[in-house]
Amino acid sequence: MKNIVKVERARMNLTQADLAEKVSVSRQTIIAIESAKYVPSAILVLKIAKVVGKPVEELFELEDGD
Amino acid sequence: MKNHLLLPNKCRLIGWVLLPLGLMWLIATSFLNVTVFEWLKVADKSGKQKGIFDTSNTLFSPDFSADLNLTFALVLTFLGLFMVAFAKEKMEDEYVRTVRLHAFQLSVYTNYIVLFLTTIFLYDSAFLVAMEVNLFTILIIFIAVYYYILHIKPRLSKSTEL
Repeated sequence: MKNIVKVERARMNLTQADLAEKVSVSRQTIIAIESAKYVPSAILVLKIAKVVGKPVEELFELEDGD
Repeated sequence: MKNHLLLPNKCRLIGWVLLPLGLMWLIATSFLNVTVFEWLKVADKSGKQKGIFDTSNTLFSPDFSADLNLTFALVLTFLGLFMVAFAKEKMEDEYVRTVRLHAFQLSVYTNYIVLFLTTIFLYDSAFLVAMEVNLFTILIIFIAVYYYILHIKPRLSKSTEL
């Protein structure tokens, strides 16, 4: 699953640590999500979408094979 | 979902202190044949000869004899490894749980691959030595994989900027 979390986070002027704190996860989790190495749970996706102010389907996009 | 079976975070530090102590003691006892504490050697008073497969030599048997240096070294090493492996992260979240599961799965698989290979290729005392070493593989592989994915890889990755 592709995502534009990194772009939207930068647009909001948030560091990885800031975003991690706002959604109550570790910074490693944000790094793993941004580098598409980890697909977050629905709860975490909704939390991230709320913080960056974007709909989930704009932040995350399914790829072929998903 | 909280995992209540994990140890408190501060156990990790205690584990990192116990582990080198245990390993040094283990190396001294097993490989260098050094008796670290002479008083931990319990001699058999009956004078009976004991084979390697003697199953009567337990802590509760009347003619118990052993070098407890090795026992304490192993206990300290296992305790250190266990504490390092199963202490909570400061921030426990879903990704940490996923990495923990992945590392655990990989370590158990490795343990069984080593078990298969030693069973097929090694015999007699070589088999026993390999089995002894294999006691450590689950925790060592677990710690290596878990720490690499969670703590080392993010530092090496380009995406850590910002």
